[in-house]
Amino acid sequence: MTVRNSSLYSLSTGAPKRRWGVELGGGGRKDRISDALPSPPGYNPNMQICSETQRSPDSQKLVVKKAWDLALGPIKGVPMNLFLLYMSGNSISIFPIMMVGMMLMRPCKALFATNATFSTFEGTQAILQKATYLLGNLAQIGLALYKCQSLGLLPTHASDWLAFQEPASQVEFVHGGFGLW
Amino acid sequence: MKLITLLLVVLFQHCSCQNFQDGLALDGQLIVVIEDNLSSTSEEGNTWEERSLVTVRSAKLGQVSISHTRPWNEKLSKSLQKLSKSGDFYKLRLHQQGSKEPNFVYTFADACQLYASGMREHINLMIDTTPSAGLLSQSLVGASLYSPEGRLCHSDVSRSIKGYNSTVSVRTPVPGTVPDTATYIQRIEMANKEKAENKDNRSFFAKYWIYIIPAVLLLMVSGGGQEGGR
Amino acid sequence: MEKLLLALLILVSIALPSSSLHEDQIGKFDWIQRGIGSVHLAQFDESGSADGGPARRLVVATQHNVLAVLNTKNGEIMWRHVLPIGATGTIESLNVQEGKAVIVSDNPPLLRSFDVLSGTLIKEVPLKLHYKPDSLYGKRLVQHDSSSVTVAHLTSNTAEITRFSNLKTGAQEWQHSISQPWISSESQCGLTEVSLTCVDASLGLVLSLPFSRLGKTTGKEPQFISTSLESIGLSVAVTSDDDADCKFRSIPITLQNVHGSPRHLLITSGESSSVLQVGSDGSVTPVKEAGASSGAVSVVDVTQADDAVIYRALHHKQAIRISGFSLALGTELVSRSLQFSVGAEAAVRMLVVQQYQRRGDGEVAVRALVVMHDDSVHLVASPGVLWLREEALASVLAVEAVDLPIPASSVSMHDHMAQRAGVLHSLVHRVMLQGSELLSWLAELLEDSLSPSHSSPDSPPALYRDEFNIHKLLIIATASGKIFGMDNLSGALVWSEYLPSIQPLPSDKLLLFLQRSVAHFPHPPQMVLVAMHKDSCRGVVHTFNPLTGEPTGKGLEFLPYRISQASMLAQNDQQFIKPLLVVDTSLGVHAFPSGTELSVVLPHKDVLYIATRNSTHITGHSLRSSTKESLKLTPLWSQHFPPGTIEGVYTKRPGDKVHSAGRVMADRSVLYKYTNPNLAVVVARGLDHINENLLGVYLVDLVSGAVVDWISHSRVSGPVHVIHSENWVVYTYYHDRNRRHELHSLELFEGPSQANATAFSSLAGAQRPPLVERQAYILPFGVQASAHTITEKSITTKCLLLALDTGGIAQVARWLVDPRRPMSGGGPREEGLVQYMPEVHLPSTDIISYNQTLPRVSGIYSAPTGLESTSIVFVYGLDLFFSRVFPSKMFDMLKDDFDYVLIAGALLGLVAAALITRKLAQRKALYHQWK
Repeated sequence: MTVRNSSLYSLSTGAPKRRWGVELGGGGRKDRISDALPSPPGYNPNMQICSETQRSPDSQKLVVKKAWDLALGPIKGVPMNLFLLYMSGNSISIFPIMMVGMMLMRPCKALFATNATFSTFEGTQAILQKATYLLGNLAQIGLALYKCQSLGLLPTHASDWLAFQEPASQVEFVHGGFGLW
Repeated sequence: MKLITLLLVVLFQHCSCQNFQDGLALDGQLIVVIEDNLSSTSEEGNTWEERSLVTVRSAKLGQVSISHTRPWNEKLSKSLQKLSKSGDFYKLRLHQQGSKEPNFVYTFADACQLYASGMREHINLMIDTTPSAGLLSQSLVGASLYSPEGRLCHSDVSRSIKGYNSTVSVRTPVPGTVPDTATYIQRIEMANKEKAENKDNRSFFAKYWIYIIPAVLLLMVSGGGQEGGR
Repeated sequence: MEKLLLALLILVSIALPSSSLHEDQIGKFDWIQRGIGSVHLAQFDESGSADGGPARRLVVATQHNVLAVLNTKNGEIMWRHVLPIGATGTIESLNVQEGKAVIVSDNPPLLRSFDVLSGTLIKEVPLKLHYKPDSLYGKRLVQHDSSSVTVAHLTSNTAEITRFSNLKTGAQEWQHSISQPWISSESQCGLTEVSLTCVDASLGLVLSLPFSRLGKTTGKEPQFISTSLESIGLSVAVTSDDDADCKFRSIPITLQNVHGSPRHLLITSGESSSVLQVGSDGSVTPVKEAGASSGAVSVVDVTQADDAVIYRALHHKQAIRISGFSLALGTELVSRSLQFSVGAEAAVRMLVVQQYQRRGDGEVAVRALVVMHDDSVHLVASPGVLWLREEALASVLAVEAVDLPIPASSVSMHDHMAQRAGVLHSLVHRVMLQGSELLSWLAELLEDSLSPSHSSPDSPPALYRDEFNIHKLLIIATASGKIFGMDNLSGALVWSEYLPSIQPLPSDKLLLFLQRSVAHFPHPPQMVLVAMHKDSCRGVVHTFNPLTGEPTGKGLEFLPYRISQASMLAQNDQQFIKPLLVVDTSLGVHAFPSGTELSVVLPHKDVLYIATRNSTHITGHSLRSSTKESLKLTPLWSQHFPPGTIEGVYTKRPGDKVHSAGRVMADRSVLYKYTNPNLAVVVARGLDHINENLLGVYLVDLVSGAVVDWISHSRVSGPVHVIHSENWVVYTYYHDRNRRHELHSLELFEGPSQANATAFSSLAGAQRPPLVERQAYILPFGVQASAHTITEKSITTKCLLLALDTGGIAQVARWLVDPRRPMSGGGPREEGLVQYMPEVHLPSTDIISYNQTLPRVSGIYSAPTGLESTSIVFVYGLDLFFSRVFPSKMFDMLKDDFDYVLIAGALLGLVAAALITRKLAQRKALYHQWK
């Protein structure tokens, strides 16, 4: 609450005119720090803070397990996605398209962010885990593509390439034939 | 008694079959004489040699057979090879046997393709079976010749052709289609009958529940809201 | 409240978009010009003009069986009656008296009387002849005046003459039959009031039979009085024997009636002519006029009075002078002469003169209706030509649309670039072109504003291409030998050229080919016309520039042979000219222009094939064996086409492209089309053994001679109109047994796979015959002429344009007559196919000629424009009609009543409102912050 009443505060310095008036908003001037309250007992402002990351072998196993969970995540999501796609239906309308779009974009984004996700986990099986993660995401993309195929959006038939076909050139030319006599 | 009637029936059928076959022969067997010309198109000579006879027993049923009067020999093979090397044509001339003024029908095929396929030829005869042909119920109108291979031919390859390998087919005119008014009228009548029979016999609630239920819900919600807001 | 709701509902239902023309759009995209035909009888109607002033109306009868009345002030048609084609409608004589136009027409002859003012039929009297006149064999001559009608019928060796004196009942006065060995249906004879006079070129005599001799029943044949041609002062023109078997030569000596006098005849032999006066005793005396022997004399008009005057039209340098001579004295009456200027080649065919008393000073003034050999009708008075009607446009035989050139300043826009230039290069090129065009446009703007240009009123504004290439020049070739260049948007004639020495080819054909279009800038466009010589059966080739009509190159060339086939090649030479290949009757091949034989024809001789035909056979030839010295045809195939005779061979239009290679089925597979560019539809008609009509339709590949399909219709007659395009064929006919007009539709497919997708070869393709789908539909009306719409890329659906018997032009979408329309409604449906219905429904919104009636249509021509959605249609026959059609509605252009003002105003208003509101909102937020 910084409602200022000019009669209560001095306009030049901002300090309260009355002795009991408290400026809760903060003055913001550097010299104030020297007038501040003394530090509490036992507090040394020059102390350095250092922390130690020492993991016990148990926590190491936990980390690996967590990494594996992350790597297998996409594969676990495949049945769920299957069911979701089945529910969204086979027609071309806003909901199925949204579902397919989302299911295509999510694995793509995850693929690009692989390194970021696995940055916190380092270990001997990192590469294997990354590979599994990659495969899982590819499987999800494959699922989305299968849905596209059943919706009829992929150009797999000859009729899809018909518009690009050049007309056949003529080899023999015939003239005449009409009656003039 | 039964045996006698059975025998009579079988005999009768046989007789009628015979008559039917005789009827076909009476239709007029058409014999077409085929002559060919193996000289190049730039030469002036018109040397037509008779080479085959085609017997058309019934054009409508497609019963046709070919017999070759001139056997294939090495000289012919060589002239065909010469024609195919120069990209020239193998020409045929056909006419009906027995007609006073032979009305010739000419056709041709690419010599290279014929040679490459080993003289495998397909002759398509155009036979007119409509009654305008005058006295003859079948008359030769046209012919076309092609080799069923159709692939790129390399004229340098020399082959040894043992003999003719001909297939003959007959094409007759197709009667013109007539606008199909019968099925259309049938369809219209069926649709009219369905419309006449089809009446909505359901009860009032069964017909209009989709409108009544939301209205009731709305009423309840607004009424409940009022009560709740009190 | 309810009434308001009802009104709103009605308003909304009316406001639905309609696919046809709105009433205020009539005349915006189309125009119509009415014609009357080639005039052969005319008379001024003197009843309307009180106190002897000039006649206000002119009654004309034409060879196209049209009786019309023209307004003499401006030449407009006041009313016209279009009588049926053929002998039933031929108008044989015309007599105008007391406001009634009386004609004798029909077979057996009918005397019809029409009111000149309103055109209503007042009376119709049958003239009963004692014999049954067979119009096929014989010539009929009619002479009639206010009191009697004489009819003479000439057949081989016999002449039947009948006179009717009671015009109210049609009762005969007398009738006689004369047989002479020299009478035939081709005899040149003329009927006068008192005699039947004939001229025979082989005998060299003028033979006259006075009617006074017929009354005597002496038992002997009444004798003709003969006068030799030399005594009249004429000689028979000598014709060459080369073309003795040519049926189309012009007749050496002609005899015709003279307008205005029932006793005079005009005899013409070559360049000289003479007027004969026929006496009651059968004597034939030539009329002497002073100074009439020199110059080209055409026709004559004589007025009946004591001071009878004979008028002759004399061709004098670049002008025609109509001089009057006193019949009795032979002196020229200088006060009664008219003069007007014409082109160099014009010659007068018919002259009708009216003498009237000028209102001011009571002097006798003269007005003349002049009909020239090129069918143009002029009304000439003393100041000159009052009006001119080009009636050659009623017998159009060939039309071709030519693109207009782009202005020279923007020629750089279309300069040629290499085919495969690469994307970056094309972009740079395009940007440079657009930049230079912008600069030139700015310069033009500056120029215009600094010095406003004064357009010279004399020279017509040069025609340039418009934005969408809809403005084209129509080159029209007519049967009289006149070629016109017509502006297609306004119907005005840009240029006209008369070639007096040509006539149409035997089957009423004139061939027009565009050898070079305007697309090749420094070279002018070139067009060629193929016709026949008037005096022989030999061919004529005329090369000209379609934009100006002037002859280019060799101009008019008379060929020493008869033309059997003529067509234009698809390949061009270095100067972008496509050669015209002409095959003569002895199978010699010639190329026009002459240099192209070596440059274009010989390099392509292996792929060029030519088909020739006679009435029953078609023969295919190849140019393979041609050498540098001569082009030679070798026959490869020949086939007979029963029944009867071949009526027509219809190929596809050369510029017609196929956009998609196949049709998409319901299961997403493709059914490939069979598009054979060498396919032709051959139609043959004849009789079968029980004398019923038989129609045979063949689909023939003209290169290999293979018959792809052969359909035989029995009991089918009527004119067969064929439309052949892409991979489908539609033809219409009349079914005798079902007594209705039917339409048969064929479509050709290769199947689910293509043999060769890159090149179509007829020789290799013979082994895979296509699948043919057939279906027939019922048409509610008969068809006079047919064509199909054509666009540049063929993406829009093709529509069939049918000129109906009722006088309208119908636009029928092709998918309505698709042979694959399913019988049953269920099942997987292919896109674009509706369920089969046997009748082709023609709603009135599909008639592109809205409420106009076109009584006699002889052909329809369609051409593409620069827009893919639009095609232009030109209908010719007795009348000319031009319109634009949008087969798939107008999808690439804004509609013409697009409200630019409203939308721009609304846009600007909204933008301004948004800015102002933003400003206000910012101010309000600031104010609130300060509080």
